[in-house]
Amino acid sequence: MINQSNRLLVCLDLSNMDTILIRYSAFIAELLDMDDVHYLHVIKDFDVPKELVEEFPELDQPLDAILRDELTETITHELEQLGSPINPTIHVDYGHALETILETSVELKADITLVGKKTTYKGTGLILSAIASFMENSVLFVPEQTRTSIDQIMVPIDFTEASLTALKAAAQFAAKSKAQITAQHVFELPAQFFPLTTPTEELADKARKVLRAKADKLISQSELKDQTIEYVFSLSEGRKLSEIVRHEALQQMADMIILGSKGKNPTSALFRGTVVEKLVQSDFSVPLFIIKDKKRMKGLLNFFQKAET
Amino acid sequence: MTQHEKEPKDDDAIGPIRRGKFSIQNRYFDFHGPVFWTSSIIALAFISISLVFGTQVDTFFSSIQDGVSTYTGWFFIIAVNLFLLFCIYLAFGRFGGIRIGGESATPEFSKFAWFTMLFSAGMGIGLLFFGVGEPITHFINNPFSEQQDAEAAQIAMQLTFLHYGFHTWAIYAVVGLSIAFFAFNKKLPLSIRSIFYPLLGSKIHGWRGDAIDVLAVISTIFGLATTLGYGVQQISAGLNHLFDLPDTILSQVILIGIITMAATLSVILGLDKGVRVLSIFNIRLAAVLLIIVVLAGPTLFIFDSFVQNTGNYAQNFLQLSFWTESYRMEGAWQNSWTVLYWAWWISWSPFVGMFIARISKGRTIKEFILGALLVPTLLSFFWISAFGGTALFQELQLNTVVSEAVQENMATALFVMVEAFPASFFINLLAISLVVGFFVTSSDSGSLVVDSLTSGGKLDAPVGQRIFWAQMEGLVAAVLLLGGGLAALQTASILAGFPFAIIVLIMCYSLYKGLKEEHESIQRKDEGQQREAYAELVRNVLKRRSESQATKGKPDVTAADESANESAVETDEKEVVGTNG
Repeated sequence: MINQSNRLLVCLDLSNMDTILIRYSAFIAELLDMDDVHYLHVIKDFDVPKELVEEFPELDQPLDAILRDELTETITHELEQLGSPINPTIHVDYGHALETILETSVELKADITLVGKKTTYKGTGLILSAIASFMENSVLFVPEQTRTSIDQIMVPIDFTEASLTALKAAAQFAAKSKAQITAQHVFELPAQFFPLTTPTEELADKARKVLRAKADKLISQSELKDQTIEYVFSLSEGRKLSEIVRHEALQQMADMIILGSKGKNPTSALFRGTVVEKLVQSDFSVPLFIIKDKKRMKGLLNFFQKAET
Repeated sequence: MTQHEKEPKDDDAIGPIRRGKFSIQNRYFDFHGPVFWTSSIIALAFISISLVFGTQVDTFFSSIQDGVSTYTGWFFIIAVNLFLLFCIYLAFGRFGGIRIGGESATPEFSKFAWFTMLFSAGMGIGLLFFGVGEPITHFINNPFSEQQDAEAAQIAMQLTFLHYGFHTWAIYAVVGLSIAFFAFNKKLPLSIRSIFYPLLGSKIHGWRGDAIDVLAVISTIFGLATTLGYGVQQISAGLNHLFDLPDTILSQVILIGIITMAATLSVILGLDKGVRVLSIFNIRLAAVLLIIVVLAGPTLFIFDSFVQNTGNYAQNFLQLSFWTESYRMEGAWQNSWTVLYWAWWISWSPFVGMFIARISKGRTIKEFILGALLVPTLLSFFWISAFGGTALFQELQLNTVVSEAVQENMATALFVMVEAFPASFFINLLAISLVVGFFVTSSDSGSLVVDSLTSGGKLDAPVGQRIFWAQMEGLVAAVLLLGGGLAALQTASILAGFPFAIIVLIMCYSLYKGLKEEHESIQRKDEGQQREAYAELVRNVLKRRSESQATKGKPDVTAADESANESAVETDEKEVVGTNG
């Protein structure tokens, strides 16, 4: 289940992206029946020169109060226009963006943290990857061009528990939106087929049948057995995994990609995240939802904290 | 206060090197006293000792050469391998994208022109002198095979390729890149001491910087003298071969005198009319000579063997690079070849480095390293396959005139080989002209480099000074020949090369530090852009609110808030208290 605390955290940065995020947050909150939505803006205090505030002596409030007023106006305006019943809570904090977002998300026990995905500056990709790796809770990256509707959900799977979690999340999104779920699995032809006597396509078809059976078994044993799921089995042919996923998502005109955070032990969850990282950094306009296993991530962060002390 | 004290010092580093004591600046001379006088005195002392002690110096030189190369051989071998590794790291590591001359710098020359100039930088007397002589010498006698057969020919080529391959160009690339980076990216004076800025800071203006530049000057002069010595031996041997003129040390010294005069003329004509015209002439002449040899020689064999030699070199690369002759209990073959070559190339590296630095502004580090490593190496390989290959082809057909000539005097190798071609007289005349051409350009551009080093990093020092250095180089070469012939020249190279190899090793570290800072500053710039963008967003909000306040007439935020959702405002205020408290 995605919702446990029914709380959504939305990260705003004062840019045009904010409107998109506010609208998308209303859409997601409605879809998942979430009523507690928090909006966070972090003032990067080193980035705001003192002279800037002094340019406007007529504004006698501190900077955080001014920005809070501004955000409150924007958010209430947008929500009113959408007729959303959301009761927003607005946080404006000073600090380091990444740290503050991570901390606030933990403090609030947010089920999902919504982050805008822009490709304007070189450096932003890095902070997004860091959020994807270090966030204890699930993250939803929302690109600039995003529709507020979900008809097609794509879930890359590898038959692990993480894949099942991702499929369950997809089912939850699909329940209200009636979206079609497509599970994609990327495979390679095993080396023992060499030397090839049968054409590659024939072998690939055989492999697809085997994989289909495996997928059916996985689903039938889970609570998803009544869910309709389409399958795509893509032959890797030496391409990068992230590229194949991206290509399929565009092909399917997916409205969301859901990825289960991988790994069986604490360290691998961090370092096997290269696919996530590549998808976060590449500029294509499909929202990317990364669902985390809270318990495991918590253990992981504790492990690192202990190591630090 | 410390911060305050430090800054002007750092600023001082940018701009010409401060003049030390005894500096002179007038119409004819403009030099940095400590560097100019110290290097002049060392060079003159070397000349005087050689002249006073005459032939006694010969044995002395030989024993020094033996000693130094025996004890430091392993060091040279590990050093050149480190340079090559460092180059590969620079090309493919995180610094590969840094551009020489800053992010917005554009290349001054087209790729083709750049490749040609890179090749001409290293192409020269060395390839003409050793292109035929070296493979034949290794064919007759090498540490890996006893017989003069096909296997010996292959080994001979491999060894020659080693000496003209990637290691050589890695030395030049490290020095060239260091000079280029600190001159064009850090705007420091064009001199070797500038490379040590990350390690020494403004102390590069003190005695340490002077010492580094003196070492670079001495190293260049002796490296150059060795090259000029080889060149004049070959010219003399060629004239003897063609016109039966005497080939003695005296005639060689006279030739040095004549050609140095020609070089002086080229210096007086200046860079545009002198070196540049002559360099273009040289490269065309070299191309003609190469085409003649490929066509008149065993054409198919040359192409075949070029492919095979390159493959052999690649196959045996690691073994050859790290081979130190450890298990050959007798003989010291390597001392007079590989070690000597490494020392010679290192001592010659400020010269080639300075040249390739000047033509490479606007290239990225990756382009620079790959260009400097691959292009000249492959062209040199082809040259050796053509010249050495032709001679080896003759040997394998049991025509041993070249090997007999080499055993007698290596300088004649090229001319004897050409004898087998039609119109050999004219081809040999062409070859001699080419050596003379290379001699003059080497001497001239050598003076330019030494001049720049002794004037504190200037490019346009007065002509008088360059004439002085051109004469001095001729003099050193002549005296070394008089004093001890080839052994003296080689000793000079090794003696200058050893300390300079240490300098180049430290240079690698210093360049690494410099590049790391540059890389970080590029990253900081990206962050700076983000920061500015954020500040701009905040400014827009403040402006908007300030304007809306003005239209409302009085600062009353609560009115706006009341119209909004009440509970949100309540939470707001809690938050304000929270953050402020």
